[in-house]
Amino acid sequence: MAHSDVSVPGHASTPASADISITGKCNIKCRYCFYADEMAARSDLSTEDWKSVFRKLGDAKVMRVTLTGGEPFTRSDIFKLIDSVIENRMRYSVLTNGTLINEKIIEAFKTGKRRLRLDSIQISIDGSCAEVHNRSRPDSFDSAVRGLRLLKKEGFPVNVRATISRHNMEDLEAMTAFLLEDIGLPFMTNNEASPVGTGCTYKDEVALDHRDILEAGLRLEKLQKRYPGRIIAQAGPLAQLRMYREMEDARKADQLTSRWKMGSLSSCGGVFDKLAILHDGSIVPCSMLHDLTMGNLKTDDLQDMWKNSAVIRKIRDRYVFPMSDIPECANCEWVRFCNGGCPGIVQQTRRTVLLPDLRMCYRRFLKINSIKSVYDA
Amino acid sequence: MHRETAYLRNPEAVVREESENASLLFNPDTGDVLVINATGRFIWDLCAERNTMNDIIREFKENFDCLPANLVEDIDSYMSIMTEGGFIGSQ
Repeated sequence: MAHSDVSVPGHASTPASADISITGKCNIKCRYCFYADEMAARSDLSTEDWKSVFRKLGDAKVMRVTLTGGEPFTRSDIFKLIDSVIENRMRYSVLTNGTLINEKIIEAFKTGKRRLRLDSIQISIDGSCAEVHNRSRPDSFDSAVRGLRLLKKEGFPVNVRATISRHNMEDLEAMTAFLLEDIGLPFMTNNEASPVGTGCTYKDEVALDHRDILEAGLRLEKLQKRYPGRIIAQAGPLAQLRMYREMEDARKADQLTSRWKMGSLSSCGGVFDKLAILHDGSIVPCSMLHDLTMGNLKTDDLQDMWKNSAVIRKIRDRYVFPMSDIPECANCEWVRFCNGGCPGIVQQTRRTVLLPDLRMCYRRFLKINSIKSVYDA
Repeated sequence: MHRETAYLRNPEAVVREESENASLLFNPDTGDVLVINATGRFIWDLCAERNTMNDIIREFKENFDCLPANLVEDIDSYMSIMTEGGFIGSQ
């Protein structure tokens, strides 16, 4: 693929950060786990193998890692892995369901530089009460909230990600009040359940359609006014409505936004400064692109893969791939302003990265909601 | 900065090559980053061993033909910023 009038942005000499699935094991069977298929298909690396991986990341001057899973705290050696991250001069974050966090783990975090090097612990909470949360994350609300309260009480940098789905659509206001007022979090983030992994199996039960996106997005916008600066979204209904408003503004002003490269498959810039490692050591451009393997850190050279892998180069090239070259988009009045959505979702749902995510399509969104502009809603 | 004070890198700090003319210093204990140019990088490399500011000024003069008139101020400024960010320390 080559387009003479545009150039792919330069990428960092080595990845600045990495998302690392340290285990494929989890103590909960969530209804929309994008990683569920991979968890069963691959085996966990040993402690020593992970130490070797962290040495390689340190040698490559990676600055930050995010430890995820599966559920990271199912690994009894998690603090050995965290100490290896620290020894190799990196900072770290943890993504967890929170259910296994107890006083013993809190104490363990206080040893050495474990707390000093911790950027954040993110816990997934999907409702204001057990009835709502447990629809998506069975039998886990009480223990997750207990873990959250423990971390908050001890002053850890804890935050919450709420995944918006049909399970908690009616609970957005109560959930936000619970997290920001009752628990007292400074802010919360949200995204949405994707129709991949178990989210594909339970698609009709959890995945939002365009009508749901509009309703949830508008309600979240109202909540943003009630809690200024405290509801953050890089994906999901709130982010989607924000993007549509930017598209409308750009078209009206005839001026393209600088937030993404309008008219190209440019929604994701992650592959220019980060990558992901699966629990068997496989390197992929992003954990959502877990079937596009670039190599394995047990045997392959990280920097060579980062620079030369055809897989990651293809995803980077996508950034300047004109959407007008895509037949289904070529005649759309919004093609100059669109970005095509998440390549991970497209890969999982359409088995290619060179098409748009139809769930993000503004033309469809308007048609299904019977409106002419997101501003009319 | 005191000219006879010896400076040394924080062994935990990391330097990343970001482009031909820019490097990035990262202090993992604080999360602070500092983008440095070729002058800053030369100072950083010299701080791999104990060097005073006078040593560093001398190294610049021995290694470069064309030096700016405000070289000492430049070096002083860089070393202040690097010290404040915990990238180098004094002894």
